[in-house]
Amino acid sequence: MSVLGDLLRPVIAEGDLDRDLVARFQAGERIAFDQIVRRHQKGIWRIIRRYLRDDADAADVTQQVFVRAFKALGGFRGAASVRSWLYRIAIHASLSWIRDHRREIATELTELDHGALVAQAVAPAQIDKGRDSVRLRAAVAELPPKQRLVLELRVFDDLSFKEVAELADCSENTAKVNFHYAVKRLREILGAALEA
Amino acid sequence: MPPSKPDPTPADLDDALLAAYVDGVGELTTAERRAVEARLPALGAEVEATRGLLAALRDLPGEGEEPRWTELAARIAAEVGDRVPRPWWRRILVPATAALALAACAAVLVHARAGSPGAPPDAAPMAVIVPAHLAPAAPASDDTVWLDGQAVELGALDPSALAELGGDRGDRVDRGDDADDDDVIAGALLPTPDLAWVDDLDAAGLAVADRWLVDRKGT
Repeated sequence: MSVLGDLLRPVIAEGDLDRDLVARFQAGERIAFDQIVRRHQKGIWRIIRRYLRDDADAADVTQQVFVRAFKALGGFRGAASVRSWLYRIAIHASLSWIRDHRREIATELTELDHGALVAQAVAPAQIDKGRDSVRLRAAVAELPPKQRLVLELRVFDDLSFKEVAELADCSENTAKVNFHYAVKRLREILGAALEA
Repeated sequence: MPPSKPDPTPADLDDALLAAYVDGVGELTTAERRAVEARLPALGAEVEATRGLLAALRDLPGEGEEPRWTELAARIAAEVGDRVPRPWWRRILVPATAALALAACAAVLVHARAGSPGAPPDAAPMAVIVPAHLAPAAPASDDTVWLDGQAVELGALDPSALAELGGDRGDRVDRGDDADDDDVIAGALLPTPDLAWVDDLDAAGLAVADRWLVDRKGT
């Protein structure tokens, strides 16, 4: 077996397992859905948490995502991978939640900024320790939306470029190019920050 | 007017796949991989910087405190319930098909009831073609014989036609009750349901029958 084959095998096996679980669910095996939840709830929560910035809300929306998936899984035809199908539901659910809670989010962010300032004053050493992380996250937040989405799905969610393309509504090649420009832009932002 | 941005050169386009190459060479097509590899000697520093940045991003600690996964899974399981939902098209199509079938049956029944009193008395009966394997069992009547999957009324047959079936004297068709008559054997056309006459043959009759069979085999 080639090195490439070894690298791809886990990805293929994961996809096959998901498809098998979906087929069992569609055949009436309710318990297959519980396995799908266990396999994907962490990834779904993470992607929602990035949008919502709140742990409990992210858990609630994760629950909503799986309830929606449960209702729609009977009609799932397998055009996309199960994971990217679930992630798409998660992104839509997150955006809907943000739209519905826009006013509350604005208030919370103001309070959060105040809290961060207090924390910085109380524990500067701790803040200093995580300075690189903060800078990196801030740089990611500055990326144009499409580049940010592609980069986060690829780096934080470990999706293949094919899956990234499905979620970003673009071709696989465009996803690869967007990924490159996201990395390039990040380096520019970080370089400018270091110079400053 | 600001100067327009120059069009990207082929080299720019090849470079645009560099991050994808560094992060997942296996996901590039052969052509894409070759294009990037041709440019690699000139991009050494870029490769290292890209690799370092991606590693730093992946090393970032997860944001927030993860929920208790078992509890979350239990909440989800409780909310969705135990029944697997059917897709919408199955929910709609199956009852719709059943309703259509029912309506069709009802229409046929109504049409049949409405049509029967008014039907012309001399209307020709509908011809029904029955395959041989579905044809009714052999007729019980002694006047009927079973030939090639069809019931043939002997009374309706032309006697001369019977003669052509191999009998020397086809004008007389035995019905089984004249067991001692040689013509029964010579006729070669026997009512299949009743062969009891064979049991009634005496020794002489059996001898005759035996001879006849030998003769038939000989011809």
